[in-house]
Amino acid sequence: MDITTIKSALDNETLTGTTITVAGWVRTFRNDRFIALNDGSTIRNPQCVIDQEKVGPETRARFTTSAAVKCTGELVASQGSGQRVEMKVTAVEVLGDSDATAYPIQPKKHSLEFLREQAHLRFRTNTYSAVFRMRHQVSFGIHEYFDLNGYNYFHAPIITASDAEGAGEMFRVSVLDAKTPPLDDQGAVDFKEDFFGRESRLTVSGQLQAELAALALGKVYTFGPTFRAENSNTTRHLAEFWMIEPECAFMDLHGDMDLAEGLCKHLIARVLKNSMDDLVFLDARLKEEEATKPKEQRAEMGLIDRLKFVLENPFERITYTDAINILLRSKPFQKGQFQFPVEWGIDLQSEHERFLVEKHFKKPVIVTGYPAKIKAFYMRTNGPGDFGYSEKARPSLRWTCSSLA
Amino acid sequence: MDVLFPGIGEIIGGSQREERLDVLEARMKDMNVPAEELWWYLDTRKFGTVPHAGFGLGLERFVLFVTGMGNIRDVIPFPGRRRARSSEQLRTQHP
Repeated sequence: MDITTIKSALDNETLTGTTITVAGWVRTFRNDRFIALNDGSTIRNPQCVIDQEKVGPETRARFTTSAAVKCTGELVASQGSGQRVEMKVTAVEVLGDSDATAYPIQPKKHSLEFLREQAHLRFRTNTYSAVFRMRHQVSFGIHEYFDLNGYNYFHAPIITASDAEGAGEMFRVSVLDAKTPPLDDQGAVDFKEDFFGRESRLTVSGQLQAELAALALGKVYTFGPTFRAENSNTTRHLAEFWMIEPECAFMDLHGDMDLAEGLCKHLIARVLKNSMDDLVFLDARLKEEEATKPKEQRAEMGLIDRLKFVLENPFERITYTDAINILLRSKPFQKGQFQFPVEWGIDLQSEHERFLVEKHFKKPVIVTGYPAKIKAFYMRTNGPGDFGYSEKARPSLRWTCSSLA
Repeated sequence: MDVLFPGIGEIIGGSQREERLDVLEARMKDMNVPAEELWWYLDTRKFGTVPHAGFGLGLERFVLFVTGMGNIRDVIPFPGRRRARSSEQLRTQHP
């Protein structure tokens, strides 16, 4: 018999009253009768009711947490399970046992630190299964957004010879013997003998290659793994992460801002539409976590409210000069509460960015017109001394002054 | 442009690109970017150069925002068994 996903068993009303088969992993087994079964298709676990006269105690003893089980039975309206329907099980088969004394994840709340150590099994928890279903929704939504807007998905190389963007942060790729590498006349490692005939590294960005493609295909985006050998021991940095890099010909900075805001909103709308079950769970998880913080550090909005708020309001667009002026007038600056100095020319530190976004504007902010010296060589510059450009005051200068640096 | 998000900070970094060859070459010289390594990039500014723009979005940072999770290690499938060491630690351990 075909296996029905639990998501369709719970959502497809035409299945009520029919006999179907579901398969998944046991979350809990209560009162020696009720299996809460999860197959990953949804965070919701239907109740599978066992008839104790048909299923003996030796089989029931195998319904341990994370055991793989297949249940066949009639979907009936549920009285008290919290779901619309439950299953009256007529046949049950244990597909894979799970030794309850050895299984590390118990049906209780574990710390995320503990689960990070059990990364191979953490997908079986509510929190992580929700996160990874949503990661899929975001990834797929990225392809959807760019496809709808006429962008070509472009695969930039992962191994690259280019070290133009800071070799110090790149991982080297080599087949040379690490103990006795070939040496050149100067006694340095001779990468001419290496696989590619020169020093090669893992990509830190596909942008330069994407530009080449955009200047022929018009609109492209990359979406692939990216590597940074920098200090990654923070809650915001990874050595291996995935990056999306659109590049569009005949587009100026205003178009760029519109594209970025459009993408963010498309993705938020998509998860609000497709991931509501997971969001409700993660919203409650976050509320619990926030409740443990001191009152002044708690977020003003819950997760779902925050997503709706970002979706429904335009992002604030300000210049770097505006940002500096706001910071100079801010309470934390006047009271000396910022750790890093504030003056025109600095790179905005995370504390400055957070003040602008979380305290001042209370919504996403797009900052443009940074000083050239703190930005990369490929960013378009305004004329000398033109850094104070304000797009509101001088709209006619859109082309020449729309750049970042 | 940088797009800053509540609770996350920078989520997108992007720009209009420098399409003027002379300005680009001067900037590269100023910033010690080796032009001879990027001859292929500069070629696009020699043959039919036009204004263009783009940005980079970090997938994991966006997933952090929509899931409300606090640590980026909780939104990648395999967070790595060994904690990454700081460049400072690497230097002192492997001088």
